[in-house]
Amino acid sequence: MSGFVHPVRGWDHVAAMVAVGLWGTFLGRPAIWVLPVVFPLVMALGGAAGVLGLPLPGVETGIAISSVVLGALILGKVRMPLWSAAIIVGVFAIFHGYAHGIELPAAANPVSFAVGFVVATGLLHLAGIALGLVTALPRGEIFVRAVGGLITAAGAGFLLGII
Amino acid sequence: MNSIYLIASALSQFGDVRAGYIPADLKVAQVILVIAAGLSIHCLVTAGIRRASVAFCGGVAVSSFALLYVGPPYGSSTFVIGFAVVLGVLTAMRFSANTAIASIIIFLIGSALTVTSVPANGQFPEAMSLMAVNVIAGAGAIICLSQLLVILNPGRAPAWRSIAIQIAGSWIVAISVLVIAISSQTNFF
Repeated sequence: MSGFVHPVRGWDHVAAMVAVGLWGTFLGRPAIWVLPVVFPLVMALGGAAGVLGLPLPGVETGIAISSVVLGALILGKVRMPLWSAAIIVGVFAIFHGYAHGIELPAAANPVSFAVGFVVATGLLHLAGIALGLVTALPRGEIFVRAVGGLITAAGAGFLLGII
Repeated sequence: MNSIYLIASALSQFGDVRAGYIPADLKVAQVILVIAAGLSIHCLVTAGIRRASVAFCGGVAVSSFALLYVGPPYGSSTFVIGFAVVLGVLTAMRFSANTAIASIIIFLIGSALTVTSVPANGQFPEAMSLMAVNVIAGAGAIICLSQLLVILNPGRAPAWRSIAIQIAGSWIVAISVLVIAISSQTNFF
């Protein structure tokens, strides 16, 4: 359970995870599934680096910047090639995975912790996808872009230490 | 609903680890393998039920003989989880294998499942029967999970279902990579 609530308790994680799903929906197929698939794959590598104790500087800064950038991409309705979107998401996933990974060995049951945080991360992506589906509604796109703006603002707050 | 009940029943045999029948590392590997194999139905369906059965039983038979005459390989749980990573990647990519590749994958699933079903203790007849029960239960769980996905019909279902299956495949990969990292660093098992 501690692994499951780990990403949910940190608003910086929540904002970025939801943004990944939201941006995927915004970009349409195949990004809608590629981005939420790429994220946990690369996140696991970051998590493994954390478990192995490999050094990674600026983890918290990287997590905060992920919210700023992903939110801004949604706000600006930025469309880019799938490979570059996947690289952006993948780079940020390393920081998120590392943050979870360094806490893994200390968990009472590391395997349960790993399962919990991977599933929680995926569910947050699905929540972002579900939220992004409102783009099909009239003025839904404006709503989604506004959520992107909120995520960017929250990310700036995390970055500056206000939130 | 029946499929969910069957999966729950079949998975309940994983509780055997508490009784000491199966070492914890192999049991974790087995659970991951069963879920990965069950999810990868999309790439395995081309093998057909008859060829899949033959390939699976062939894998079980080859592994059983190898275990009997050579003994369990060192670090077998890591190899099995590594194989689950491959299955998870195939699921996440919605990979469609041809008949030959699908048969080889099913052969390897049978083989890996047998390796993870070796009891920690027990003499020859008892150990073999325990292993057989574990293999059958594991195969049952894979079939139930696959059947559930067939009912969901990812090929023709609404997009969100196939997306969910692909995302679940990526979860399997992520969890497997983390379990390998954990087992290499801590004395968890």
